[in-house]
Amino acid sequence: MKVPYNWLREYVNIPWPPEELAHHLTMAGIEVETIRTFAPLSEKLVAGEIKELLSHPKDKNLQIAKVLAGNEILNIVCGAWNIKKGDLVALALPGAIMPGGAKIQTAEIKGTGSQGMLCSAGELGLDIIQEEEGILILGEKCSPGTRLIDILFVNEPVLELDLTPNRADCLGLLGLAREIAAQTGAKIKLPTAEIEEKGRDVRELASVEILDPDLCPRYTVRVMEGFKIAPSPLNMQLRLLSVGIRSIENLVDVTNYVMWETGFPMHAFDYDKLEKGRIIVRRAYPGEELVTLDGVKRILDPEVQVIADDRVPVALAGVMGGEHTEITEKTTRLLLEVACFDPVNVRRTARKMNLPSEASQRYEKGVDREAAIYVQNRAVHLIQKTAGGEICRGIIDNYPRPYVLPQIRLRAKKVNEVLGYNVSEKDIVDILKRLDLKVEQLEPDKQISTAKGRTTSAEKVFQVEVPSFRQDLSVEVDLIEEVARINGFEKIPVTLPKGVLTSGRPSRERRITEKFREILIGCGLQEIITFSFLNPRLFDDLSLSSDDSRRNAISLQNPLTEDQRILRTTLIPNILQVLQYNFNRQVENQLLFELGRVFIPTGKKAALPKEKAMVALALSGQMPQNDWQNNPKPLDFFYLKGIVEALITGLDVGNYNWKTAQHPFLHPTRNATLFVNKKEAGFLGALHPEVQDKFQFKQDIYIAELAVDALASSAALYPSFKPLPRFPSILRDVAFTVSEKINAGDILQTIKECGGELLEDIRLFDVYKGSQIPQGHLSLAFALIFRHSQRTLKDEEVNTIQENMEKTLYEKYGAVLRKI
Amino acid sequence: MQEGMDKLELQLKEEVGNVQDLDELNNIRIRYLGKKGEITLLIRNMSKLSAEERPVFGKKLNELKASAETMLKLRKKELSSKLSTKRWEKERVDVTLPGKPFNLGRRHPITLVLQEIEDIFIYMGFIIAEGPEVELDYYNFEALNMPRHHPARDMQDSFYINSKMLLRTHTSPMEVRVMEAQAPELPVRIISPGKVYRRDDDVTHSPMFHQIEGLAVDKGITFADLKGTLLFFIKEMFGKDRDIRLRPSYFPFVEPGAEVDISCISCDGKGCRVCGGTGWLEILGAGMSHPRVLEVSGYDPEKVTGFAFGMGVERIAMLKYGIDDIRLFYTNDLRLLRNY
Repeated sequence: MKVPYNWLREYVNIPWPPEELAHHLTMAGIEVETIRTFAPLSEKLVAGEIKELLSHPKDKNLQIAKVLAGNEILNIVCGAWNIKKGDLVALALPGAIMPGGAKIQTAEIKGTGSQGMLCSAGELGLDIIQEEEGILILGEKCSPGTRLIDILFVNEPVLELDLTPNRADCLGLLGLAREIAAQTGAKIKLPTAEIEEKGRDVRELASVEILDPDLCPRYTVRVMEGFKIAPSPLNMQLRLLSVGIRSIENLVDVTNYVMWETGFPMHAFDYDKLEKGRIIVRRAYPGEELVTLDGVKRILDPEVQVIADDRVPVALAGVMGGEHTEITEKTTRLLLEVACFDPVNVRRTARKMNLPSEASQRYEKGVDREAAIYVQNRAVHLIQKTAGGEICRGIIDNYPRPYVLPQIRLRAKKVNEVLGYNVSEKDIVDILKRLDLKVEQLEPDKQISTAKGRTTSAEKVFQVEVPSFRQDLSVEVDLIEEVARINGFEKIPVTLPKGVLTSGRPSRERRITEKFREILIGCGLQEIITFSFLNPRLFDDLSLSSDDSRRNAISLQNPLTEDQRILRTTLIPNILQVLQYNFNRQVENQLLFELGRVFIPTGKKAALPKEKAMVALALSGQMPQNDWQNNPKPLDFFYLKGIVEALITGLDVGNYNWKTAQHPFLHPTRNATLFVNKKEAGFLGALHPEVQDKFQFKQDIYIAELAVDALASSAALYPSFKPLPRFPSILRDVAFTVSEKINAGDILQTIKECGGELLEDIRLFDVYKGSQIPQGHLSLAFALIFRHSQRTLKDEEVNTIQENMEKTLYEKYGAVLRKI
Repeated sequence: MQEGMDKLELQLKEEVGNVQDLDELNNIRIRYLGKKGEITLLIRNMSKLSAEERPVFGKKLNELKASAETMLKLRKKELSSKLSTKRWEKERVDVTLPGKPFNLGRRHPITLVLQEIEDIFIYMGFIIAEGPEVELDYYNFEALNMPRHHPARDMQDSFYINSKMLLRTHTSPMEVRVMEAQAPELPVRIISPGKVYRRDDDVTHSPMFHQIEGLAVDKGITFADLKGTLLFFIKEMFGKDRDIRLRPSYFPFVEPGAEVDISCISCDGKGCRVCGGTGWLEILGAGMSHPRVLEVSGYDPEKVTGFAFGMGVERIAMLKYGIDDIRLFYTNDLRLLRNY
């Protein structure tokens, strides 16, 4: 909402300059975003009176104007022909700076001196219309030499409001004037709506039927005739322009002007185009058509409320008029609609037709139903004043749903209870009255009969009647806010909540994810955060099979781009894209992780999807430990596996194991699934070379994705106490020769099983392949630590275990003990 | 005898002077002072001397022994220091060479800010509650006093999944979810951090961003308590010198509602480019829980009151780090992330 400061001042005294007004409004909840100057014009632009026009001796396309400005008569060479002797025109004196930046100087044009320039509206940057094109002829009476900034509505500070949707009343300057009056205690100046009716009675000319009163609670009509359609007075055009509305002609301009004034939209029909003068407010019939003012043919349905004449729709109610009945130069009679429409219906229609307008914007938020007659009269008054003509006698006021002024009970005690400080009863009443609310203190007996809950006769209770222009006030707290607002939020004291002490704490999930972060950051991984959206094309890039469950994703109805069409079911595509982004910026060594949710449809339409917390890891490039002491080593499968195992052991999750797997986007033989406590917890591997190509990666990528839950559900945030060992341990190193086809993990597992409780720790410390080992075999060397918790272990006991171990490994895997 | 002693002393002096390593020095010590050492033998043979000679030679022998010991000790010190110097030279490192790289990862700046905010409210007794990012229209709008076609819905352009489901546009639905789960128990004191989504994409808007919601419901909670709580938070977050101001505003689920500004962190309230010359920065929205919201969530608005607030984490992160394009948080440029 744009608010020209001086226009607003017509309706209320403002004790503040524009900047201070902006501050006061902002602090009262009406946020002023900016103040801009509309049409800043140079002081050297003045009104000049044409005294004489002479032809130019050398160029017949030019003439020389003798122009009076102040006490001087100036010679001005001019190429326009719309001027005549006696006209007051816009004159740029030497030194004037034009809106385009050009500076006007005395010049010689084809041998004739020119002491300035006569200006067109365009040259002044004013987008207005005139009877004839050419030099701007000033309609306003003034003495020659007067500065244009003193007579035209220019150089105007315009406040741009960022209104909250509840303050529909401030979508008109009068509403804003009321708000200022409430703050300053002044009275508003309501513009005159005096009219003189003449001629035929409107009821003989027109009729109004409302078929669905819920969608149209009030419809008023006046008819005018005999006016002259022409451009509006210059200053009316400029005022409209200052709020962003282009001038059309005087009739339509007045409807826009009064809308800006009152916040009430209205529409002027060409009366003679309305079949039988009938107005029928109804829902459209299926398939009915209407060409709106913008020239677009609209196909309608019964959801849309229209204004129809005896035959066809002539306007979309509250949204836009029809082309056929629009005001034209030929219009001789007009029918003016000032009506109220259902906000929801208008909003829906405006959305469906993609036609947000100044009118629909106001209807959507609710107009002041009670003001219709005043607005009607104000508009026809102003039309008559600008375009002449006669106002037909009477007004049609079809008002099936009269507005009931809300009565709200306000307890003085409640005000203080909610705000936390004491506002006196006198101040409460005073503030409400300044807001034009009617306040009445209830009698004690009346209180009891109307009061609910805890009200007792000892409490002061007010009955507050809310005027129709404040539809945002409907319950007690709304009034409490008004009290706080007008009293000033700065008066609210600063206290802290009293009562029971509560212990603040993060949830277990949050503590676990923070632990994840701690470990991964400690391992050198950088946290990233990416969007929850995906482009479904990425599933193809990942070579997911057509029945892969991850393809079953939730689609957005209205995504911004194809890249954000679905909600992710895996974090992998996004982390790959981040790798790609950074590779393209010469970052070659990347260690990344992301903690985020994936969204898994439940299959039931009404049920929310399952939101599953996941962690994704990605590595590429060289190990961070590479330096001047070590030769560069690339990050590899086992580096990533080590990080995942650090996570598992750091969280103390219990049993876990790895199995070779066939995840489609992973390298076929560097491809593993993690099981935690026998349940699948995620995968890890090298990115498949084909996928690598699709993402144009030039180096190997290692990725993992784990379900946070699978790790977290058994994680120990506070591990239990384990006493220090009291007896010595026995250390044994053993190595086995085994076929390459056997998984080291199986050997490890078997050793653990054979070691039983006495095997305290096991570590694989060497994998060897070479001349001493038969072809197709390798040697696995383990360091074992045995210990008994209650006594000193004997060598013989360990020997027995070890013999059994050797036997079992040989039987199960053909593993042979090597002597080291 | 005297002559023998003098000779011995000279001989020892020479040998000690020539020796170059500690082992050899030790051998010398053994040869002179060991069990069968020459000086030791002389002392042992004293018994053979007459009673008159004994004290005289005894004294001299003791002097010889002491002098030998001193000589050996000094030489030992000399030799070890010489050897150490050699060793130290051999073991010298260039301390200016770089250390072993232990690249620690870093948290994403949004995580850092989120955690900082969370911590402050945790100290104040707020419990963290998290909720779904795909939300029912009911919780996102309707229960928050924004029925279908309410104009306030325009302020939050939504991503819809179907007619009843959408990506939550704010963390406020958690107010209702938490109250529903807890009612009628008091007090409610939660914060709810998380991702939210709006159909917007420019320098100051990202289709996904983070918010933190706060809610306190109890008997006797006031607007002044809200102001106090927020002031405490702001001073913890932005420093003791920050001030706040509340401006009336409108969110359908609170009444009275307020926008909360803090005095500009860049110019201290004098007015600068960051704050657009006003001296204030808009930082969060807040207000007293609307009675209808309390009611649909299972609390009697006649008996309890509550306050709620919500803030954009990116907005705070941008102010804290001086970032002017919100999209930088989600390009995950490592050259940038490494700075946090």
